[in-house]
Amino acid sequence: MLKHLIVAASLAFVALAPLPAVAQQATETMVIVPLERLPVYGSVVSAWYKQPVYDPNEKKLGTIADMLFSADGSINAVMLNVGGFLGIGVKHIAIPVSAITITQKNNKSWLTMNTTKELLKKAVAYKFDKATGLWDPI
Amino acid sequence: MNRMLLVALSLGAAMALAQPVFAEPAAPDSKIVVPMEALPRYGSLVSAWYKKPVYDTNEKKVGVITDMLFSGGEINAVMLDVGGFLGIGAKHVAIPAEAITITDKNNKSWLTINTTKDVVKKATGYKYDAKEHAWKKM
Repeated sequence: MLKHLIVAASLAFVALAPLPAVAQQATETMVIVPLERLPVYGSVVSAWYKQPVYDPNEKKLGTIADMLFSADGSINAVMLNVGGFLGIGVKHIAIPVSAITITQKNNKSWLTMNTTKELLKKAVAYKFDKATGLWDPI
Repeated sequence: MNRMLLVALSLGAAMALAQPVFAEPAAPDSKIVVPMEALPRYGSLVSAWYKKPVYDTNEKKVGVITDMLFSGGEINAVMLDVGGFLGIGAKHVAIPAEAITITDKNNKSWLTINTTKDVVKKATGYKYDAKEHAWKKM
């Protein structure tokens, strides 16, 4: 009687075993189909990345060197090289994406940020670490 | 903070839609931006995606990322030029950002997408309209 039970149990185990194979098949058929229509969007990265950012007096503060985003796709910081503005070689500072305003000027996008030289001078500087692929405070 | 982000981006969207282009200097009473003293948690960088190649699961190059669309600070689509893959001049298809996987290969970022030539051939093509600063269906 006990023997029968063991046989039945091992049979049940065998019956369950093919499950991972089914799961694998499912992932293989997950082919990505491009979007037939675009989602609503407010801006495009090409209008920001490597583009200059100006202060309210149209003085160039720096150039966007990078944009940081989290796993869910939300951009949470912009890396701005303000070295030229400060009269030093290179200095990257981190700015919340919401602090930069995009408008248009002469049919081109125009990025502005309201800040001061003193604040940028005092700000924490970051450097890109090629080995880790991360921005680190200097 | 979140509200500020939404306001800034909806402003950006409104500007992108407006036909007569006018640049409005930032309001003089707008808050002074203080750079971030620490970086937020982030999963990836625009510099690892923008203008970078994307490969299929067999390491065949599917295309190059030419732009990234975002709304409310969230990246919601990636523009991929698949012209070379299809053996035609240029064809941009829109891919949901989460459909592209980033890993590391030889100490460099490596982007992959699970799709096929037939699928991208049939997909809707988009073209960048420089006048309207928007991507349009071809």
